[in-house]
Amino acid sequence: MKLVIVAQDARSLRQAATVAKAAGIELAGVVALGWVSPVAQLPAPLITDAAAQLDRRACELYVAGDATMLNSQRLAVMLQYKAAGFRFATLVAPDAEVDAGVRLRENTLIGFRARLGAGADVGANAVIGDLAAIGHGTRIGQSAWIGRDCVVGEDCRVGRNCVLGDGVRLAAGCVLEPWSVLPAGYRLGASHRGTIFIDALFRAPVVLRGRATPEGSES
Amino acid sequence: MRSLMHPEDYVSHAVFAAEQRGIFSRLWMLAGTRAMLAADGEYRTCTLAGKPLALRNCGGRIRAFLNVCRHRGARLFADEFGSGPLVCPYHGWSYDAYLALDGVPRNTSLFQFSAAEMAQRGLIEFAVREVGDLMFVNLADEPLPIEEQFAPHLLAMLAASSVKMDSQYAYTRFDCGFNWKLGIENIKDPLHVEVLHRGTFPDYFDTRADRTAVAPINHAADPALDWRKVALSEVSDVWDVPMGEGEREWHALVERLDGKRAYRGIHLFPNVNLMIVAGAVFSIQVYNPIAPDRTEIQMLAATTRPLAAFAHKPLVLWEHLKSDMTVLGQDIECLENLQAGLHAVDFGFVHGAYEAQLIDFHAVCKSLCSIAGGVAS
Repeated sequence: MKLVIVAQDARSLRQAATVAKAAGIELAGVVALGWVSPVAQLPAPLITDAAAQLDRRACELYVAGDATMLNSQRLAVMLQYKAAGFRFATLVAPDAEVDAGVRLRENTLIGFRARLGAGADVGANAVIGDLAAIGHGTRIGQSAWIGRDCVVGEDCRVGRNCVLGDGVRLAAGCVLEPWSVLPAGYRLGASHRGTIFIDALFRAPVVLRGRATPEGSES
Repeated sequence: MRSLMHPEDYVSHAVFAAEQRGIFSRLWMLAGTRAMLAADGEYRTCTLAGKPLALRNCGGRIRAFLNVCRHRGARLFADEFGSGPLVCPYHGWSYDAYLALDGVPRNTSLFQFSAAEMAQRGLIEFAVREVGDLMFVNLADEPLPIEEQFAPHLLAMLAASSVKMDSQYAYTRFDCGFNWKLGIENIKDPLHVEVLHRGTFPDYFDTRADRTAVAPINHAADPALDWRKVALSEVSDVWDVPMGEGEREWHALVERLDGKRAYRGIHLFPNVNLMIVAGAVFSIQVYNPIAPDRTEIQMLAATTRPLAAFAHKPLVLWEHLKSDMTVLGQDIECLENLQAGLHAVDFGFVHGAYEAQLIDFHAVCKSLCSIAGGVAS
């Protein structure tokens, strides 16, 4: 099965292409969304019209994007291709340690030397960075971003769309509500009620409160 | 122009106490929003003029009260936000939706309160005035009409715009090491933006201060001569800063207010900085005085109401607050350094023509403190 990467920036394209190459997956093309790169620097031919040019039975897509863009937008792109009949790859670096019973959904990426404990569950569209360790029984929500070298303890729940910067540590059993953002190097020892955003700019956590109206809620 | 305020006014405990009495215990203070108290039983606690205050949705009506039990003064609600019945965690005294004492464990044997005695021991209630979705509280026994504090057109604008505020918001507090007046003066000072915030203020704002010709200024003049002429309702102000290309993809997902291409700043006297950016996002900062040299900034960001699916709104709020904080962080650092040096300043401050509104602000502060029997300089 050939792989086509749909990328929204050069960095995440490189990340996905590197993992695919190491895993021995043939890269058949690149769809560049919203950015321009010299064609010579692309790891595979540029595809301008995926719907017309690609054989849906012969290839899988991987939609790449970095944490600075919204993973939800990445999800939207993925759903758009899914509606057009495409299937999606799960990219796992060959030296990643994935224990028995780990569940990986579509369009996920597991980086180099990452470790996933038995029973871990990684939601669609999530990214597990290089060297990150996900504990036994931990659930990583859809479209979450787990940075390089993070350690997420056993039986944690990381909500959808959470962003963990590089080197974040989550103690065992922690629950992180959807959309929470923890900066690089942050250590969370206990669950926090509600969505939190942590950044050195602030002297206290920023909390998300109130109710999402039906229009504003997630579908 | 010479300033009405002397450096001492920013460090003195006597001045601080006079302000707490004459301003913060006497005027209408922004203490919450509808979204904080949307459901029956939801509460928000804060400190107002040194008093522990709670606002709570009591059967649909927002009530404000001293957050202490009438038994031994224990704190009723410990969290800043939450939801729950009015039951003291210490000995279990409970209060009803009208704040009346309605339950005393073992009353018959230990207290023997009659119904009349129970009725005298309700929670200490304060006046609440809802302006749109903004909740103002007044600690005075006889609150002044809110129309004396805010002009009718300002109240109308606040009411009409705040009801468009979404029910979901991002919130934080920031403990700062400066006097609250420095924070308010800073928001009413357009000149510092192009200097202190050079490079950090979003470039789609036109932040140039008005440098049109002004009348000759006599720096020896003493503005104190006529400072009592400024009316309380005149010292809050509204200003629009034009925005260039500031449209965001998510703007199409929310209801838009007037001023789609403007940054609207609103100073609500005494201590609120309310901003509406691009008619699409509210940013509210309350400068709550804790000590002469300590201010707690309460910060809230909320979009206007969504019109369509807006799943990534949390991240939009977070990015907005970070953008605000990048600018505010520079202000805080500058003002904390300013505060730290004030004890060594023995000269009066000087104001330029662009700072006329600061002098009005000072005049009203001084006036209110002197009326309250505080420190007059």
